[in-house]
Amino acid sequence: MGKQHLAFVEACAEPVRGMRLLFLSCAGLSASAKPGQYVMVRCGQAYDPYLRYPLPIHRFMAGQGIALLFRPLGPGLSWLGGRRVGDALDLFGPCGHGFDLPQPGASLSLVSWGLGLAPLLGILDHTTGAVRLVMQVPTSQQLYPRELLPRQVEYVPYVGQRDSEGFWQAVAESCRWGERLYAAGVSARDLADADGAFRRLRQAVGMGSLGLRPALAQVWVQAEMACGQGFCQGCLVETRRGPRRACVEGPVFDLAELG
Amino acid sequence: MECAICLGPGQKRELELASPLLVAAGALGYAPLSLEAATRAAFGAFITPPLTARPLAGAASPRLARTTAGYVQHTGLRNPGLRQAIRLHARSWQRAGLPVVVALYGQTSGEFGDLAAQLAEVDWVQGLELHFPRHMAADEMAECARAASAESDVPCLVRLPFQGTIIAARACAEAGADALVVAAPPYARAMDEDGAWVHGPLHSPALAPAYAELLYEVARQVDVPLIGRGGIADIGDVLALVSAGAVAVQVDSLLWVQPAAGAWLYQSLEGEMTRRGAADWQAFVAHCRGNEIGHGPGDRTEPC
Repeated sequence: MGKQHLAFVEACAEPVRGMRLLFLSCAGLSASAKPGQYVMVRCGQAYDPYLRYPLPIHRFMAGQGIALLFRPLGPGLSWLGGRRVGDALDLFGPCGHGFDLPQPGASLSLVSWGLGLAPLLGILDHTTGAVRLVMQVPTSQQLYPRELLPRQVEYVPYVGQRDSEGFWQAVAESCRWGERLYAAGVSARDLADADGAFRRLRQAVGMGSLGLRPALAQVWVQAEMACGQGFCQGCLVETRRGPRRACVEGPVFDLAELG
Repeated sequence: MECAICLGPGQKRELELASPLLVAAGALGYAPLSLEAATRAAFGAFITPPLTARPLAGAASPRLARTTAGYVQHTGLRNPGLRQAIRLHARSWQRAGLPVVVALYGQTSGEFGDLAAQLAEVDWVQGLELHFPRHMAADEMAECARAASAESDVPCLVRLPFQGTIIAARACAEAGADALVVAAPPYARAMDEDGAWVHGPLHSPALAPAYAELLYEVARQVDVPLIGRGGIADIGDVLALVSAGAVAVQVDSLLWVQPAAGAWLYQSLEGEMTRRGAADWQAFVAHCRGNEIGHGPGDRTEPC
C-alpha cells in the first residue's frame, strides 16, 4: 500500500526535447518501490488541478530517491515541469504492480515507442545482466541520450514511424535475443486496435523464443487514473480474465493476459 | 469529540455515529482498511460503493476527464452485485471498526425492496443509502425509499439528485427516509486529453458553495436529518454545510488527493468546537445554525 511522501527536487533537466526529468530526494520511496510502479503526484498547492497525476518511476537512486520523466503538457504537468531545485513535492506511492524481474544476470529486452520509455529504465537500476533497449521515436531530437544509460545497455534507437518494418524487425530480433521482454508505450485504448503497435508487439513476442508465456513478457499499460488506489474503478483494462484495474492490478500486465 | 448522532431513532436498529465525518460511497471503494487506523478513527461510518442486484461491468473508455479544479468521471457503477460484494468484502468491512452503510442502486421500487430484503438478516449492516438513476422522478424515488424501508430494520438514507433536489427531498421525507444526503454530483460533459467526450458526475471543490446552497434550501423544506456532501476540501466547507443544516458530512474524493484528510478535518472540527465553547457536537451544530441561519420563520434551528 502506498504512503504519502514529501520529496525535494535535487536536480532537473531536459534530456529529450519536450521532456522533463526531475531527480527527487525521497529515501522512503527509493527503498520501497520497484520498477514499473508509479507515484501519484500532487501538481499544485491548491486544488487546481484537483486530482493527483500518475507518473511512472523512471530511475532509482539507491537509498536516496527517484527520478520522474514526463512531458510537461497540460496545467498539472506543466506546473510540475516548472519545479526547481529545492522545491518540495507531495507524492503518494509506490502504487501499482511493477515488473517481475528475473534473477540478476538474465538478459533483458526493453522495447518502447513514442514517449513510453519512462517506466522501463528503472529496470536498469535493478539488474546486472545484459540489456538491449529498442526505442522508436518520430524524430532524432526525441532520442534518449546514450550517456544517460549504463554501459551494459545495448542501445538500438530507431527514428521513424511506429509502423515501419525496420523498427518491428529490431523488436523481433530483440525478442529472440532476450530471456525476458519488458515493453512500454501501450495505452489502454491501443489494446483494442487490431492494426496497432500492441498487436505488432504481441505478434513479435509470440514468434520469438519467449512466446507468450506469463511473466516472460510484460507490458506497462498507460491508463487514465483518478485515485491510484483501486477505489474508483475508473482505469479498467480489458484482459483475458476480464477487466482489471490498471492502478492496482497493473499498470504492468503479462502480455499473454492482454489482447 | 463528544458526538452521538443517532439516525433512525425508533428503528429496530439505529445508526449511531461517533464522528460527524463519513466516508462517502465509493471514496474508499471496497477497502476501508486502506486508510491508516488513525485516519479511520476520524470517521463515523463507511459507506460502500453503490451495489446493484446484478453485476455491472462498468462504462467503456473514456471514463475520466480532468477539468479546471475538478474532474468528470463516468465509471458506469461497475460492481460485482450485492451478493458477491458481501461475499468478497464483508470480512474487511467488519474489521474496519466503523459502522457499515450499504449503498444500493436500482431502477424500481421492487428492485430496492429486494435489495433491502437481502440485507435484512445481515446484522453488521447498520444503514442503507439509496442512489437513484439520474432522471428518476421524485415520486418514484419516494416509492423506492418506502420499499427499502419496509424491508429493512436499519435507517434508510436517501441521496438526493443535484437537480430537482427540493421536490425529491419533500417526497422522500414524506416517504419516511431517515436522513437525506444532499446531494449527488451534477452531471457534466468534458473532453479528455485525447479530445473524447466524458459524460458523468462532476466532482470539484469549486462546487462546495453550490452544495451548501442546496442543503440550505432543503433544510427549510423538510424536518429530516440532513447529511452534506460534495466539494469538501477544507474545514470551511464542512462548517458551511453544518451551518446550512447538516448533522454530518461525507468526505469523498478528497481522500484520494489528501489521504490524511479525515484526520485533519476531525482535528480542525475539534478545534472549532473548543473555540466556540461547544460541549458536544449537538451544541456545536446548534451554535453554527444559530449564528448562520436561525433568523427567519420556519428555520429549523434544533439540532437533530
